[in-house]
Amino acid sequence: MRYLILAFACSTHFLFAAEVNVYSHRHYEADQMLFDQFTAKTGIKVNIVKAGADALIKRLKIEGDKSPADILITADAGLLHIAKEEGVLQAVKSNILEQSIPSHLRDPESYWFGLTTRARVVVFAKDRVSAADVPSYESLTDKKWKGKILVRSSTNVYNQSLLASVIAHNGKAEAEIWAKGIVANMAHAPKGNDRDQVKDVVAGIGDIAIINTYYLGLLLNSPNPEEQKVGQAVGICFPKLAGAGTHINVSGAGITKSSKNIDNAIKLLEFLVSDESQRIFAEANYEYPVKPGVRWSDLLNAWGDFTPDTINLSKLGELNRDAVRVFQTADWR
Amino acid sequence: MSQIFFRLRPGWQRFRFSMDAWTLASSGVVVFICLPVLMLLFTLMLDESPFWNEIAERLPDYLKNTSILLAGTTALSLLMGVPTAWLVTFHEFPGRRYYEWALILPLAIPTYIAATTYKGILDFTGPVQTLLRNNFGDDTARFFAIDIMTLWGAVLVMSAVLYPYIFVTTRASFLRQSASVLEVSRSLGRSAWQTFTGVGLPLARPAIIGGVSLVLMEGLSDYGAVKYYEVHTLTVGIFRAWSEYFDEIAAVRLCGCLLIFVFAIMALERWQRGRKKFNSSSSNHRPVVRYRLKGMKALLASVTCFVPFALGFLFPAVQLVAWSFRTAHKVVDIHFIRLAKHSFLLALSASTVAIVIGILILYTGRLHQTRHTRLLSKISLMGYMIPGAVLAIGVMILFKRMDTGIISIWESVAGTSLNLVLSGTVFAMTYAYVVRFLAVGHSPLEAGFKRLSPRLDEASRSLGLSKLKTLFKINLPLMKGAILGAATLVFIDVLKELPLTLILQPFNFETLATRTYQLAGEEMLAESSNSALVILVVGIAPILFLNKIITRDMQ
Repeated sequence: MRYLILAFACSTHFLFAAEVNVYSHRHYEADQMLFDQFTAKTGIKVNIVKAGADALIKRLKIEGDKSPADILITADAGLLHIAKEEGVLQAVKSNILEQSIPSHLRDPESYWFGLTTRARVVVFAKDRVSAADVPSYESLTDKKWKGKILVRSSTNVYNQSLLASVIAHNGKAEAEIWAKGIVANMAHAPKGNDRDQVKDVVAGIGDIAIINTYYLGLLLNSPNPEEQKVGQAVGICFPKLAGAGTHINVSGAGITKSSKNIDNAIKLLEFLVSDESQRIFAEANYEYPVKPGVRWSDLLNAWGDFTPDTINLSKLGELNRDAVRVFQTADWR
Repeated sequence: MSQIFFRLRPGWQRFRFSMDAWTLASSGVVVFICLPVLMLLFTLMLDESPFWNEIAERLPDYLKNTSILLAGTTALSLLMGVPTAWLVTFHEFPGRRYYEWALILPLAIPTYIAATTYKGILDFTGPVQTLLRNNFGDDTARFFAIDIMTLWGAVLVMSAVLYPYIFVTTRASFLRQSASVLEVSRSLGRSAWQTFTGVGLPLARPAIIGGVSLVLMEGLSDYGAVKYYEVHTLTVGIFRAWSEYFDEIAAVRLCGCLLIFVFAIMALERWQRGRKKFNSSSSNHRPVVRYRLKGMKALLASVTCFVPFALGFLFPAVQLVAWSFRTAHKVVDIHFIRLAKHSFLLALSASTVAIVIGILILYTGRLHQTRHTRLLSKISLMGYMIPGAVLAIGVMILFKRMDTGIISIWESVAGTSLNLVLSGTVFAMTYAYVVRFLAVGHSPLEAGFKRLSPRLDEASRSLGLSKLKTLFKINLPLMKGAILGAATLVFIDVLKELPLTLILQPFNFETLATRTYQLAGEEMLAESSNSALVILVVGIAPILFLNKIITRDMQ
C-alpha cells in the first residue's frame, strides 16, 4: 500500500513540476553536467532513464500515449528513424534547431535531430600501412587486405548503419559483394568492441580496423598507459564511400509522441545545440559538433579535416533491415 | 436434476474444503505471479512473426552454441566443485579451513563482470601481456597470448564463477552423510579414491545433480557474458530478434526453444529426486573425522582447492581492485553512493517479499497435500525459466493494462486526466524481481519445511493453536536458517540482476549493476570496476553468512 501511495505521489509529481523526462541511450558524465546546467539556467528539472535504445523504444511503445517520456536520445541515426517508424516520435517545429543542424543530420520531417557527429573510419598500424592505402571503403575488399581487416560483429548497429549507407550509394547487390569481400579479408571472426579491434591491430593480428572515431579518443585518454600506447601506435584515415565522403553517424534526439512537456523538451534540445553546449557535448566523447562553426577539440583538429558523406541519415534507418539481411547472406557474424 | 446435484455435491464439498483461506491466498498470489507470462503468451504467441524465416536460419547455430556452452560448463564446474567439496569435508590439509568458505566466494561475481574482467586481464593491454611484452619482447608475449573471447573462453569463465553451486550442494550432502559409512568402506580395505568413487559420490549424486541444474539454469539465462564474447547462444538470438528486427514474436518463439532446455534440466532434477530414497539421513550420525593428508598429498589437495578459488575469485577481484585504484577518484562520488543505496533497498525488499510468498505457498502445500497445491508451487517457479528481458516485457504489458484500467476508472469518477500510476515505478520493478527469483528461494525453503516432522504441526494443532500460530510459533522459528539462506540467495541475485533492471528502471534510478554494464558497454572497463567491486563486496558478506548456516546446520 505504501508503494501505491508512493506511486501516486510520483505520478502527480510528474503532472505539476517544471520537468522534462528523457529516455537516453547515451551515458556520459558530461551529459549529466549539461542537463544540470540546463536546470540551473531554466529551472526545468531533467529526469533520466538510461538503457539500450531498443529497450527504450519498446518501452515507449508499450507505455503508449501515457508514457511519461518527452525525449528519446540514441547513439545512432538509424535507431531514431526506426523509433519514428514505430510511431513513438512526433515532428516538432523549431527554427533554432533547423538553423543550427545541417539538413542531412536531421529528419527531413523533423521527427529527430542529430546532436553530435562521429565518423566510422579506418585506423591502421603506422609501421605497416599509410593513410593513402585506404582511399575508399570499397578498396577494403581488395585482395591485398586478405587476413588483415579487423571489424566487430554485425549485431552492432554502427556496422549496420555503415552497410546501410553502402546500400544507399551502391545498391543492394554491390553491397552484398562488398560485405562478402570484407568477410573474406577478416583477420579473425568478429568479436569484441571497437577498442579491441585497435588492440588487435597493434598486437599484429591484422593491419587495419574499422572503428568509430571517438573510440580512438577514448584509447588515447585511457587511465591505462598501455591503452594510450595502443592509441598512439595507429594512424587514422577517412576513406570515401562511392567517391562522396566518409560515412558519418550521429547521436541524436527526438521528441516523443506522448510528450506532456513539449515546450520544455524543445527548450532542452535547443539548449543542446547552443555553441557552448555543442562544444561540451561533443568533447565529452571525442565527437564532432553538428553545428557548423563550433570549435573542434584539439584532438579532432589533429586528426585533420575530412569530407563527410552528406546523404540524409534517415536513409540509414530506412535501409537498416536490408543491411541486417545482407550481413546474414554474407555470413558476417 | 436432483440426481445430478447429488452427484456433484461430494466434488463441490471437496472443492470447498480445500478452498480455505490459505489455498485461496496462495492461488491468488500465484495467479498474480503468472500474469506477465500469460500476457506474453496471449499478446504475442497469437500474432504472426514477420521475420521468423530469416531469424530461424540462425537457429541451428544458436542451438549448437548453447549445447556446447552448457555441456562444457557442466563438465568443468563438476571438475572444480566435486573434488574440492570432497577434500574440504573429509580431509585435513593446509588452508582447508579457509577453502571451506573461500571456494564459495565466486558466487558474488556475476558472469558478465567475470567475462569483462577476464578480457581485461588477458588482452593486449592487460597486465599479463604488458608484463611479458615489456620484459621478454613482443614474440614471447605473442606466444603466450590467450584469446579468451571464444566459446571455450566463455565455458571457462562461466565455470569459474558458477561451480560454487555444485560445491555448496555437494558439500552439504557430504556433511549429511554418516561418517560411519565411509569409515566402514576404509576399514574394509578400500582406498581413499575407491571410497570417493564407490561410496561418497553415489550417495551425493542427488545433491550434485541439484547443483548442476542450478549451474545450467544460470548458464542458460546469461546474456552479458556471451554477448560480449560474441558466442551466439539462444539468449543472444532472442536479443537479436528483438533489437535487430524488432520482432518480439520471434523472440518469444526462441524463448520456447530455451524452455525445451529448461524442461530437460528439470527432468534431470526429477530423475535424481526419484532416487532420493537412496540417500540415508539417519539422525544418529557422528561428525566427520577428517583424514590428515601429509607431504605431497597435502600439497596436491591445497592446489586442487586453490585453482578454482583463484580462477573464480582471486584473479578477477585483484584486477577489479587494481582498476578501481586507477579510476575511483573519477567515479566514486555522492551519485555513486546513491546507486549502492538503490541496489541495496531493491534487493532487500524483493528478497523479503519473495520469502513471504514462498512461505505462504509452501505452507499451504504442507497443510493440504493435494494436486492443486503441488501445481501451485510448480507454477510459481515459472518466472525463473524465462530470460529477464522477456519477462520484463511481460511485466511492462501487464502494468500498462492495469494502469489503463485504473486511469479509465479515475477519469470517469474524478473527471481529470491521470498519468501512468504503476508503470515505471519501483513497485513494478520489485514485482518483476519477485516473479523472477521466487524459484531461487524456493528450494532452501522447501528443504527447511521438509526437515520438520509433520508430527510437530499435528501436536501444535491438537493443542489448539491455529494454522497461522502454528506457522509462526512452531515452523518458522525452527527453520530460521533455511529462511535466512533463501533470503540471502534472492538478495544476491537481485543485486546482480541486469536485463530486468535495465528495462524497468524508473526515472533517475540507476543501480550498481546497470552502471557497471553501461560503463563496460561504453568500453570503459576500468571505470566500471568500482560499481562491480561494490556488488562483489556486498555479495560476499551474505555468502559467508550462508556458509556458516550450512556448516552449523550439519554439525
